[in-house]
Amino acid sequence: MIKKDILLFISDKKTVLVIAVLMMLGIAGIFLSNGETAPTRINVGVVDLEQSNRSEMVKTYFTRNEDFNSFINVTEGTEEEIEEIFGRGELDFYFVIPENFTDEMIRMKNTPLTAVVNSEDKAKAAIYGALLESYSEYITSVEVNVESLTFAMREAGYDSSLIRDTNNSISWDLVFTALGKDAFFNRVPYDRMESLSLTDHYIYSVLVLLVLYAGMLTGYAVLLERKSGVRARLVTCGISPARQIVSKVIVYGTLMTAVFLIVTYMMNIFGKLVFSFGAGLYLTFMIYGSCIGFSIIALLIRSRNGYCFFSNMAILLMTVLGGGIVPVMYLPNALSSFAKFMPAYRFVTFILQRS
Amino acid sequence: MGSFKLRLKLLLADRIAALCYALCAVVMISLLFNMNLHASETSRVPVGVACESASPAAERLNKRLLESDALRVTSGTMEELTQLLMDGYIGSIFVIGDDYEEKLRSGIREDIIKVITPSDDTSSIIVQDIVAGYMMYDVCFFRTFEEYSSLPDMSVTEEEFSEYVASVAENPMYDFDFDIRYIDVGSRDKNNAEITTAMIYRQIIAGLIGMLLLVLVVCGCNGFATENVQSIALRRRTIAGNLFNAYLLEMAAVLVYLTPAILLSALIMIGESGPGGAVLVFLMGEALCMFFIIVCFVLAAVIKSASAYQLVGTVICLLLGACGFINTFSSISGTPLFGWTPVAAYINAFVEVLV
Repeated sequence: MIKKDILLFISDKKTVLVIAVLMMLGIAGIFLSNGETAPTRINVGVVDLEQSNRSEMVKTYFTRNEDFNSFINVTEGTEEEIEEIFGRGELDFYFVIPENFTDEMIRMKNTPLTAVVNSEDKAKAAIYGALLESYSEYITSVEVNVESLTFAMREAGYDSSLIRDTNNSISWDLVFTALGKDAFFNRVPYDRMESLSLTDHYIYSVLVLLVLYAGMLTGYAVLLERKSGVRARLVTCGISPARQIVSKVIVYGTLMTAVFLIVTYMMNIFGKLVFSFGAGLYLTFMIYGSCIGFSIIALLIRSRNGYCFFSNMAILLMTVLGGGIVPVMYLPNALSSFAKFMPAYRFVTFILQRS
Repeated sequence: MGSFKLRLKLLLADRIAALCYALCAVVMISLLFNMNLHASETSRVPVGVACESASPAAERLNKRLLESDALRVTSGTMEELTQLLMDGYIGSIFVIGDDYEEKLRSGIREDIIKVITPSDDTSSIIVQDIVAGYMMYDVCFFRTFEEYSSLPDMSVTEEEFSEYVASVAENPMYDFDFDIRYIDVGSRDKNNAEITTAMIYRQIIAGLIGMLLLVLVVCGCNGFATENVQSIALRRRTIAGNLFNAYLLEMAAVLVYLTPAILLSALIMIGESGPGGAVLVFLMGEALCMFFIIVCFVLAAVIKSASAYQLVGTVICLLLGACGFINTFSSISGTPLFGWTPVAAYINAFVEVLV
C-alpha cells in the first residue's frame, strides 16, 4: 500500500512540481527576508511663528535629543516652505507654533497648537493622531497644575513678581519633566518569554498555514481515490479502508515533513529565525495530525467541491482564531478564548515560551 | 444564456457543496462581523496592570488607565498577568509598586513604575508614552504642591490644594487639545474627519474579507479544473458556437453563485459605511471576485490537474492576501508595498468608503 501511494504521489508530476516550486520560493523568501531594512523615520515639519528664546529652547531640546533624533527628522521653515514640502508628500505631519504661544501658555491662554497630518495613508494618520492625543494629556496636566498654583498664590495675596517667577520656573521644570518621561519607567525583560516581530509572527503563521494545507492535500487524495472507485476496488482485494487511509497519512505526512524540515533547516542556516529540534518535532506532529484530521473530513464529506469549501474555510477560520492574521491579543475576548485550541497559536506560543 | 444556466445548475446541483459554501460563508462572515463590532475596543493596546499600592495616587492612576481610550487594561495579580503575558494575551505588564505615591511625593522622577516585557521587546515604548500621560497629572500635582508649601506663610493643606486643582481641572478651558487637521496630500482633500486606530483594525478585517472571497472563488471554480482533467473542455471545442461567450457566461454564473456571500460581506461594516458605502463595497467585492474568477479559469486551463489547481489556487489566495496585509503594515512603518495587488487595492478602496 505504501509503495502504491508513493508511486501515486510521484506520478502526479504537476502537484510534485508545484510543491517543489513552493519549496524553492520558501527558501528564496528566507534569503530575501534576511535583508536589513533601514529603520523608519518620521518626517516632522515645524513652523515657528513665535520665534522666541523659549520656543527655540524647546526645539533645540528635540533636535539635540539622541533618542528623539533616532526616529524623527525635524525640518524647520516658514509656513510657505513647510506647506510646499508637505504638499510634495515629504512630511508626515507638521506643527504650527502660533505667535506668543509659550507666553500665552504660561498665562494660561489656551492657543491651540495646529498639527497638520498627511492622511494619504489612513493607517499612518490614525497612529499619528493617537500619539498627538496622548501628548495633549501632558500639556493639560502641566497647565492645570501651574494654573492652580498661580490662582492659589494670587488668592493668598503673594507679590505678583514672585507669582510670575514661580510660574516661570515651575513651568519649565514640568515641561522638561514631561520631555524626560522615559525615565519614569524601569523596564524589566521577562526572560522566559521572547518577543516576536510582526514579520517573524507572519513567517510562523504562514508555516502553520502550509502545514494545514499539506493536510488538506492528503484529504483531497483520499477523496479522489474514493470518487474514482479505487477505494471500493481495494476493499474487494481485502485492504480495509482504515489501512488505505493510514498508508496515505504515512506517505503524505512523511513527504510533507521532509519538505518542511528542509525549509526550516535552510531557515536555521541562512535565515534569522532559529528552529530548535523541539520545534521541528512539534511541526512534524502537526503535519501528521493535520493529515489525519483532513483525511477524516474527506471521509465525511462526499462532494469534492464541498470538501474544498469546508476545508478551505476551516483553515481560514483556524488561522484567524489562532492569531495567525490578527495577533490573539487584538482579537475580541469572545474569539480569543478559542485560540488555545488552534494550531497557529499553539505553535507560536511553543516557539516563544522558554521553559 | 444556455451556458450560464448550465453552470449555475451544475453548481447548485451539488447540494453538499452548496451547503458547505453557505455554512462556511455564514460562519466566517459572522466572525468578521464580531471582529468589526468590537473594533474600537480591540484596536486598543492590550496591557496588564498590577496595582500593589492602596495609596490614593496609585488608585487614581489605575482608574485612569482603566478608563483609557488608547489602552485595553487587564488588572490582576502578578501571577495572573505573567500567565497572560506568556500566553500572548497582553504585551506588557505595568507594576504600580507600593511606594508609588511616596516616590512622587519625594520628587523622584526615575523608575517610578516597573514595566515587564518579553525580552528584546521595543514596541512597549510607545505604550509607556501613553501611561506617562496619565501619570503626569500627579507628577505635576506633587511638584506644584511642594513649590506652594515652600512659600512663606503658606496655610493651605494638601487636601485643600488637591480640591482646588481638581476644580480647575474641571474647567474645559484648560483641557489642551491639538487642533489636528488631516489633509490627503495625494488628492489635496482636506478631510477633517477623525481617523482612529480602529481604522487600522478595519483594514485588516477588509483584508480578511478579500481573502475569504478569493478562497470562495477558488472553490467555486473547481468545476473548471475538473472539466479540464476530464477533457470536457477539449470536447467542447469540437462543438460549433462561440466558446468565448459561453465561457464568459459560465464565469458570470460562478459570480452569481458567489453573490450571496459578497452581499453578506458588504453588510459587515454597514454601520460605518452607510447604505451607499455598502453598495460600493458590494460592487468592489463583485469586481474582485470577477477578476479572480478569470485568473482561476486560466489557471484551471493551464494546470489541468485538480490537486495542483487546488494547491496553486490557495497559494495565490494566500500570496494576494499577504500582499494586502503587507501593504497595510508597510504603509504604517514606511513606504507602502504591493499597493497595486488586488487585495491591497480592495483594502484601500474599502478605507476610502469608510472615511
